[in-house]
Amino acid sequence: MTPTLSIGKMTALLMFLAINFQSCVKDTVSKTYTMYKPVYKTTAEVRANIKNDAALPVSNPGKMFVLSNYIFLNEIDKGIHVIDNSNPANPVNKYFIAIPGNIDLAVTGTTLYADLYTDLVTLDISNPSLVQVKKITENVFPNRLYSGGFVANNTKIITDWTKKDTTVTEDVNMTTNGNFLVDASVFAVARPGSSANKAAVGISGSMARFTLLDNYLYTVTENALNVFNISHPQNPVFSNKINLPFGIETIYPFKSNLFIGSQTGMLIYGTANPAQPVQAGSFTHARVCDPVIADDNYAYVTLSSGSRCAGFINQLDVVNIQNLQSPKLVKSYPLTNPHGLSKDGNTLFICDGAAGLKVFDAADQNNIKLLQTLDGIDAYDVIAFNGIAIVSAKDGLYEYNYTDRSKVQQISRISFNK
Amino acid sequence: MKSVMGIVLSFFILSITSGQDSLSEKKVKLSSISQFGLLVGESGESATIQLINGIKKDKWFAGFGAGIDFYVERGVPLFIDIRRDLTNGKNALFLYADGGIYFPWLNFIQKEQRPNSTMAPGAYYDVGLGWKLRGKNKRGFLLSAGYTAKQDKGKTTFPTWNPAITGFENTAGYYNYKYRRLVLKVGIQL
Repeated sequence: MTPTLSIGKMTALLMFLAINFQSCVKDTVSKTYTMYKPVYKTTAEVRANIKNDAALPVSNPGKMFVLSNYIFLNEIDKGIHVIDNSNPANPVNKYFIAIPGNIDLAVTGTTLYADLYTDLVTLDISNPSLVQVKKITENVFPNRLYSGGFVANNTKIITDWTKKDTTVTEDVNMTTNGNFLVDASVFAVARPGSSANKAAVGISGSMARFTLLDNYLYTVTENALNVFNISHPQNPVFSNKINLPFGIETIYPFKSNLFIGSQTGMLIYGTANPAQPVQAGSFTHARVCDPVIADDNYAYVTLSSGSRCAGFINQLDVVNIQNLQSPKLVKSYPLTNPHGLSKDGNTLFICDGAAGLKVFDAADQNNIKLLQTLDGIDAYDVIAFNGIAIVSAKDGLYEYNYTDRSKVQQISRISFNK
Repeated sequence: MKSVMGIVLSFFILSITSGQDSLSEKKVKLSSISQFGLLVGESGESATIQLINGIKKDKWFAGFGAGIDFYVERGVPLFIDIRRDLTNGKNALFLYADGGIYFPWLNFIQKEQRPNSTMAPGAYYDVGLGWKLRGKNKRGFLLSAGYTAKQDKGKTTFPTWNPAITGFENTAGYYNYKYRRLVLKVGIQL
């Protein structure tokens, strides 16, 4: 006998289906992406490993400092390359000093100062082939972040990163209606740090956050000026902290003044009392990045926009600082995307990003003339002294001879391992 | 997508011609099903329309179907449909099962929500139970309820901060979407 179906039975069946399938109604998305996980070491392990290691290829250069025949080049968050520059036409990458969390350095005499995440490390470099840790000053850089804004485990130090492919499955509605989002752990390192890929110079440079003046080491953080007494160079003593407006980027010493570059202007601090610098003047500009250098009468400020820097200004500002209490803009010169700069006599070098290294005659601040553009390099920072310009670029460390400044010539290059 | 729409159009033409066939049910006969469905899932309610063209004999029907599925993201399922009447008489209970491929066909807004992305097809299935009311000229009015799922895949590229190289690099993210819904359909079979 063939069964027949009534409307009542059909309705009951549909209700049965709806109830029993309700728990199976899910919208999900499986996401596969790459994430980076930090490799931690204990503080004791890291400190025990600060010594001369075999040279490593340069991958992510940061600040650089030149002392005598050596270039000390920071590898961001990893350590310092020691490059023998006895022959600028043939520099030799000789050693690597592993200092995890390092982005800044300064060198005086036989002593090198470097940050080790939140600590300050003092190294004896009298024998560059056998550096020795002399002192570690703890927690003098609180609130430090690793490049990318990553916040580390407080009890350990990040020494490396590992790449890992990860798949997670989650509710579609948790990812804003199916939009492509990345796991929060990736976003945790998704912003560039304040020092990313910015090389720095030493005494005559423009991007440094550590600098030396007489018997004091001055360091700047995002919002503070730290003062260390280095009367005994290998026993630095933290002596003062001066609060500054947020957005501090660089510090540059000239004579008895400190020129501090911030994202909104240039601050000038006098060091009549070197342990207690006092603000002498300031120069305000639009919110951009602005490394600064100075000489007797003028400060040179490069303003640049970019992914980290706000604004749309790319130019050189020349500022009259004959009256420190009232700096005045002399003239602005348009540039492409300027970064570090250096001046030797009347010759001004400006790293203009992808537009290359530009050489100017700065004898007349009202009429600075472009002498030469060395293109083909994406230049970040430059140290110019004694006829040799050392340039940190995206793809390598270049050296140029400028004894004839109308015909600046490349004499060597160490390629970076990108 | 043009080829997919071409297939959909051909089903419309087939559905008109199949309605003119008058062979006996004991013989193989062309048949066409047009359906409108209400989809209910975790993300809310939406609609689907389907056209299935195939052959039927006795209690069996088999055919190829195409449709448009508007749930969360617009797409076109192409599938094989098999169904069997479980009962005789004027009102017949039937079971159906569809299986095939779901092609994402995002509208403008959905594309804007997924920048730098490419989409790829995934699996599609639909199983359920229905009730067929026979009308004049052997037309059938269909009412069915079932469980259906569609799946598609996306790949998107985006700059990611790589702390190992202290810089941004372009990385790819791979996404596998699965939408599981209840479906209530009404339609006619010619």
